[in-house]
Amino acid sequence: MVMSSMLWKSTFREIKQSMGRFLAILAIVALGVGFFAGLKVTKAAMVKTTQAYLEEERFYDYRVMTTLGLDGEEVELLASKEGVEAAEGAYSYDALCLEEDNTEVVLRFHSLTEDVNGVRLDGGRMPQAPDECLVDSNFYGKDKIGEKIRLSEDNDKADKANFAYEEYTIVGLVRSSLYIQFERGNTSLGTGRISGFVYLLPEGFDSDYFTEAYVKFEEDFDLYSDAYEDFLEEKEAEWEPLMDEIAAGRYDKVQKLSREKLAEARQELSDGRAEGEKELADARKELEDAKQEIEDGEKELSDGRKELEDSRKLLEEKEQELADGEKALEAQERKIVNGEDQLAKSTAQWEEQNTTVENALAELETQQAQLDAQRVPLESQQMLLSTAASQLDSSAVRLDQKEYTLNLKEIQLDQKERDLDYRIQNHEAEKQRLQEQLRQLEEREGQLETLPEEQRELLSPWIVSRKQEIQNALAALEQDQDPEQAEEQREEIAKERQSLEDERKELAKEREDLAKQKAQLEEGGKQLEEGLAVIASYQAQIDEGRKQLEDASAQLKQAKEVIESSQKQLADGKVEIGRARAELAAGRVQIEDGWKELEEGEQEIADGEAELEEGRVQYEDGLREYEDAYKDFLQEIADAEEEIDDAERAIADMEPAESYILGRNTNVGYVCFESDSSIVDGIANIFPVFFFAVAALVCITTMNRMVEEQRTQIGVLKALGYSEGRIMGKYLFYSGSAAVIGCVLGFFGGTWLFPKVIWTAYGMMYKVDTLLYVFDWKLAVISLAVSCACSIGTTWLSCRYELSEVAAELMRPKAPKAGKRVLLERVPFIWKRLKFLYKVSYRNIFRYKKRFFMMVIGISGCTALLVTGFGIKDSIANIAHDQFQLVQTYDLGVTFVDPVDDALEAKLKETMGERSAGYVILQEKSMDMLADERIKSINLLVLDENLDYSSYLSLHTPQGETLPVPGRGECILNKKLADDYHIETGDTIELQENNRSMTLKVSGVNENFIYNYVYLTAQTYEELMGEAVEYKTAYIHVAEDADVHLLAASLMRMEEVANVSVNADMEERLGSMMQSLDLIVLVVILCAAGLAFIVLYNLTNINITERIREIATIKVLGFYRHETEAYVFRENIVLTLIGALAGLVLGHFLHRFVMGEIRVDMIAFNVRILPVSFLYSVLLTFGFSWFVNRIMGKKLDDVSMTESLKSVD
Amino acid sequence: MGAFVSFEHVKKIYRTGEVEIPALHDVNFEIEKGEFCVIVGASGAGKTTILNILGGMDTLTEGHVYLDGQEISAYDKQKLTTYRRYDIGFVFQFYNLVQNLTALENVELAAQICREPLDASQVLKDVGLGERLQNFPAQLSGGEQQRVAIARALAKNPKILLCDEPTGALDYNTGKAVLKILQDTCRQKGKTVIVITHNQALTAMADRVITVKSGTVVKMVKNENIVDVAEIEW
Repeated sequence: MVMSSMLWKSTFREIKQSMGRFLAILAIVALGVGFFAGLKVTKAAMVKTTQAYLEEERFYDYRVMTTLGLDGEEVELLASKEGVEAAEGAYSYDALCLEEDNTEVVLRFHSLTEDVNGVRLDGGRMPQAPDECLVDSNFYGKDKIGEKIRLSEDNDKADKANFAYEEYTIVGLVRSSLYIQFERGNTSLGTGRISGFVYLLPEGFDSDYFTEAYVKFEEDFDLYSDAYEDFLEEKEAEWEPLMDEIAAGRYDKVQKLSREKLAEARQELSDGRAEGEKELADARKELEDAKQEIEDGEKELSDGRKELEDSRKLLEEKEQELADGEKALEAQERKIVNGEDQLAKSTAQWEEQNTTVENALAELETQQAQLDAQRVPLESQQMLLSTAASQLDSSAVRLDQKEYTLNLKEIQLDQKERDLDYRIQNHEAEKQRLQEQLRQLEEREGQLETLPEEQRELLSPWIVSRKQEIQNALAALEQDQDPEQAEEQREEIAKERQSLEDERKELAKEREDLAKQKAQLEEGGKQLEEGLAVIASYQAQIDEGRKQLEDASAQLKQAKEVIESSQKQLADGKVEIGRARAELAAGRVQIEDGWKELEEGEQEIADGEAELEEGRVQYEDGLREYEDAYKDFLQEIADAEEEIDDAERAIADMEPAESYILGRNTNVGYVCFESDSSIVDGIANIFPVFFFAVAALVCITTMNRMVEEQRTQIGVLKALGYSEGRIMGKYLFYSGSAAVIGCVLGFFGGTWLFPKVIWTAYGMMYKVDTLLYVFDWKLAVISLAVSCACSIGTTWLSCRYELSEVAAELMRPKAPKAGKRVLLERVPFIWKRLKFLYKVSYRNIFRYKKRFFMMVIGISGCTALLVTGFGIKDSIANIAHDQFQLVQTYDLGVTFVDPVDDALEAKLKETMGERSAGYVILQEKSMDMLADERIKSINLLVLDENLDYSSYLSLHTPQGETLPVPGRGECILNKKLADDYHIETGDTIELQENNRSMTLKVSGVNENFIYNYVYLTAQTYEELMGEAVEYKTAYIHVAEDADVHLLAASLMRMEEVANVSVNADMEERLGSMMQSLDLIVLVVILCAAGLAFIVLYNLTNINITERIREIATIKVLGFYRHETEAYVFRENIVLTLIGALAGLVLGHFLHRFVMGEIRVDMIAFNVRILPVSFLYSVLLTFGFSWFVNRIMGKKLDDVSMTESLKSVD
Repeated sequence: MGAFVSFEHVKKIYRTGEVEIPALHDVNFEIEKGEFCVIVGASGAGKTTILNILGGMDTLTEGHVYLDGQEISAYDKQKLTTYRRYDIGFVFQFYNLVQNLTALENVELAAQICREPLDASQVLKDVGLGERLQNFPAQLSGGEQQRVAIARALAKNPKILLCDEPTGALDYNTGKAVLKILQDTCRQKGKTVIVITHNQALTAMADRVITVKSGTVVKMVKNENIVDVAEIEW
C-alpha cells in the first residue's frame, strides 16, 4: 500500500493522539495471541523438554532379555550390531527393604549403566563403593542421605543371594530417565506396589548374569513420532531373529556351563572325600595327644598339693607364738591400767584436801576482815574521847580567865568609888576661887570708865571674854556639883558590884559542870580500852589458824610431787606396750601373707584341676565331634552325590530360553507422558477462539468509530484526488500495526508464560528437567494471520462502506443517528419511574448493538474465565479431603508381613487396646485390568463377605446411593475407571496377574477420587483365581481421644507389621501438592482482568469520543463532575451486570469443558463450582469495571466545554 | 457597580505549548439588567472568547468580570459549574440537543438540575412547540431544534441568556422567528439577553450594541432607535 509522506505523517500523528485506542487493539490482540500461542506451544515445549532430557540421558530404544539372562559376551554381540550406539547389560531386582525406622517398603534395584538410561543427581553424590546406593528423589528426601537401607529378612533366600551386601548406604538422590512419571510399577512382593527405585554399582549385585540389556540406537527421533515407529518396525525384523539366536546360544552356553560345573563338582567331591578322610585321621591323632597331656597334668597337681600341706603346718606354729606374746602384753597392759586407776584416785584425794585447805584459808580471811571492821569504830571513838578531853581542858582555862576578869572589875569599882568621893571635896574650893576672880574682874570693869578712851577700847573685850570664861567654868562646876548625879553614880557602881557577884556564881556553876563532864569522859575511856583488849585477843586466834593452814599447804605440795612422778612412770610403760604391739602386728602380717600364699597355691591347684577337667571335657567333645564329623562326612558325600545326580537331571530337562524385545512403549512414564501432555492441546482450542472473537469486535468498533470521526477528512482526501486504496491504507496501517505489535508481544509472552506455569503444575507428576521453550514458526504465522484478519480485515470492512460514498457526501456532516425508543419504553410502568438520565443510558445501551455485544461478550468472557479458574480450584483442591472423608473413611491402614491369623489378631488387639475404635481386615493387591483393548494397573480390594466394611469404606455412587457388596462373580469399580474405559454396570472386565486371569461382571460404579480400585469378595476371588485370599491389610479406626500417630508408631514397632499409612497425613500431603494449582488460577484471573480492562477501556473510550459534544454540552449546562461521570458510566455498570450474568452461565459450561479436557491418570476430579466462586467472579468483574471507570473519569474530566461550540463534523 | 454585567480590562491569552495566542486585550463594557445586547464582530475578533468567559466555560488571564455584583473571574472550577448551573442559559449555534432524548426530555434535562425551574412543557409551548413535545431532535427541523434549545435555556430560569450565533445554522425566515422569540423573552419577561453574532443587521433590534474588533471592544452604543425583528432584513 503506497502512502504519501503526508499521509504517513498524518497516520503517525493519529496513533499518537489516540494512543488509548491503539493500545486497546494492541492489547486485545496480544492477549488473544498469547493465549492461543501459549497454550498451543505448551505441549510442544513439554515434549521438547522431555525429548531433550531423554536424549541427553540416552533413554533406551530396546530393553532385551532372555529367560536365562544375558552375559557380557552376548551384550557385546548386541553392541557390535550395526546402528547400535550402546548396548549395556543391567541388573534389576525387587526386594523388601527396611528403612532405619523399620518401615518395610518394596524397592526396585537397578544397576547403574554408563551409556544408556542416565540418572541425574538431585542431591548427594554418586556411589563409589559397591555398598553405596542412590535412591528415588521422588520417594526420599535429602534427610535420608547417610541412612542405610537393609534387605528384609522376609525376602526369599534366592532373591537375597542376588545382592552382594545386606545393607546399602544412601549417598545420593536421583531422578531416572526410566521413571519420568511418578508411577513406579508393580511387583510380586509385599503390597505389590513398588515405592521407589534404587541404583547400585554393578558390583553391588552378586549375580552370574545380567537380567536385561538396554540398547540405544544411534539415530534419535522425535518423541512419539511416526518416523520412530517405522524405524522400530524395521529394526524388529532384524532383531527378533538375533535375539532368538542369542537365546539359543544362551541355552547351549548355560548347558555347557552347567555340565562343566557338574564335572567340577564331581572332581570336588572326590577331592573332598580324600581331604576329609585325611582331616579325620589328623583329628584322631590330636585327640590322643590330648589324652596324654591330661594325665601329666594330674601328676603335677598332686605334688603341688603336698607342698601346700607343709607350709600350712609351719604357719599354724607361728600363729601360736604370736598368740602367747599377745597374752603377756595384755597382762602388762592391765597393770598399767590399775596403776592409772590408783593414781586417779590419789589425785582426786589430793584435790579434795587442797580444796579444804583453801576453803579454810578463805574463811580465815573473812574473819580477819570482820575483825578489822569492828576495830575501826572503836578507834574512831577513842579519837573522839581524846578530843572531848582537850575541849574540857580549854573550858577550864577559860573559866580561870573569867575569874581573873571579875577580880579586876571589883578593883576598878573600888577605885571608882574613891574617885567619886575625892571629886566632891574639890568642887567647893574651885567655886570660891572662880567667884573671886569674877569679882576682881567686875572691879576692873568699874575702873575702866576712868581710863582714857583708847585703853578702854582695848581692855573692855578682854574683860568681857574673861568674864564669860569664868562664868562658863562656874556653870560647869555648878553641874558637876550636882548631888543627884553623884548619887546615881554610886548606885551604878553598886549595880555593877551586884552583877559581878552573879557572874562569880555562874562561874562556880560552870566549874562544877566541867568537873562532871570530865568524870564521864574518864568512864568512856575505860570502856573503850576493854573493847580493844577483846579485839586483840581475836587477832591472836586468827594468827594461830593461819599458821596451821600454811603447814597443811606445804604437805599438799609434797603429795603433788609424788603423784606426778608416778604418772610419768605409767606413760613410759604405755609406750613400751605400743612398741610390743607393733612388733606383734608385723608378725601377724607375715603370717597372713603366708596364708594368702597358701590360698593362692590352693587356688592354683584348683585351677589346674578345673583346667584339667575342661581339657577332659574338651577331649570328650572332640571325641564326639570327631564321631559326628565322621558321620556327617559320610552323609555329605552321599548328599553331594545325590545333588550332582539332580543337577545332571536338571540340565537334561532344561527348557530352551525365550527372548523378549521390549520397546519404549512398555515404559509407564514414556507412555503416560504422551497422553498427559495432550491435555493442554484440548484447552488450547477453545480459549483463543474466544479472545480472537473479542479482538475482532474491538477492532470493528474502534475502526468504525475512527472512520466515522474522520468522514470529513476522508472526503477531503478523496476530493483532493487520493485513491481509495491510499486512504484506506492509513486505517489499515493503523489497525494492522497495532495488531502486529500485539501479535509479536502476545506470541512471545504467551510462549513463555503458559508452558512455564503448566510445566510447574505438571511437576506434581513428572520429574524431568527445567523447561525448554519452543519457537513454532508455523504457529507464529497462524497467529499473525489471525491477528491481521481480526484487525486489517475488520478495518477493511468498516472503511469500505464509508469510502464508497462520494466526496461531497462525506464532507457533509453525517446526520446524527436518530433517537429511538427502546423496548423498555413500551413498559411505561418501569419507564416512567426512571429518571431520564437513566433513560439516556438505556437508550444508548440498546441502540448501539455492536457495542452492546462486544461489551457483553468481553465482560461475560472475563467472568467466565474467573468462574473457570475458581472452578478448577474447587474441583481439584478438595480431592484429598473428599477421598479420605467421604470414601476411605478409616484412619489407619496397616500392612502385615504375613496373612493375618488368630494369633496376630490377638496381638494386634493387645497392641491397640483402647486406642482403636475397631478394625477390619482385607486383601489389597495390584492387578492389571484388560479393557477397551488396553491394560491398566488397578488396586484390587478383596473383601471378606462376613465383615461389615461400611464404616471404613463407603461404597456409593456419585449420586450418593450406597452400593451393595458385590455378589459372586461380580465386582464394583470406581467411576474414573469406568469412564475412561467405557465400562458400564452389567459389563464384564478381565483382571490378570502373571498368567492367571478372571472375568468379572460389574455390579456397580462407585465414587472415588484418588487411584483406581476394583472391589470384590473373597469368595469370588478364591473361586476364580483358585488361590486362597491372603488378608494382609487392616483398616483401623482410631478412638476419639487417642492420637493417631502414636498408635501408628506402636503398630510400626510390631515386627509383624510391614507398613502403616495414616490417612490424615496422606490428605495433608496431597492437599499441599494441590497448591501449585493456585498458580494456574492466578494466571486465569490475570487474563480475565486483562480482557475486562481492554474491553471496558476501549468501549468507554469510544463512548466518550463519540459523545464528546454531548458531554461538553452537559458540562456547560452545569452538571457536576460526579453527575457527568454517572451519566456516562451508568452504561458501563449496566453492561457489566448483563455481561457478568451471562458470564456465569458461560463459565459454567467452560469449566465443564476444561475439566473434561484435563485428564489425570489416578485422579478423578470432583467437577463442581462452589457458589462462593460465582460470587467472587462477579465481584472481581465489577472490581475491574470500577477500576476502568476510575481511569476514564480522568479523561472525562479533561473534555473541554468549548467542544460544544464546534460544529458537527 | 451599577451595571448588571461588566467587563473591566479583560485580557485573555491562549497558550498551546510554546505558542501564545492573544485573544482579548483590555476589554471593557457594561450591560444593564433587562437589556437586549448584541455583541458583533468579524470571525476571530474575540466574540466567542468573551462569550466563553461570561458563560463560565473559560477563565481569563487578566482583568475582572462581574455579573449581578459577583466577581465571576475569581471563581474556581466548582464555583464556575454552579454558576453555569444556576445563572446562565446557553443557546448554541448547533443547538447541541441530546439526540437520545425527546424535546421535552431535553428541556427537563436542564430543568431538573435547577433550583426554581420553569415547567418544561409550558416553556416549550411558549416557544411554539406544544405539539412536538415527544419528538426526538432528529425528527425536528433546525429552527425547531433551536427553539428547543432556547426552551432548554429558559427553563433553567437563568439570570442571563447567552446566545452564540443562534441563527448561524438557520435560514433567513427561521432565523428571524428565533430572534423574535429571543426579543420577546427580553421584552416580555425582562430577561437579559446577550446575542453574539457577526451579522451587523441584528444590531438594529438591540438595546445595546458592542462592537468587537481584533480582540478588543471598539465601540459600545446604546441604540435609541430599536427596530422590531420583523422589520430587519439581511
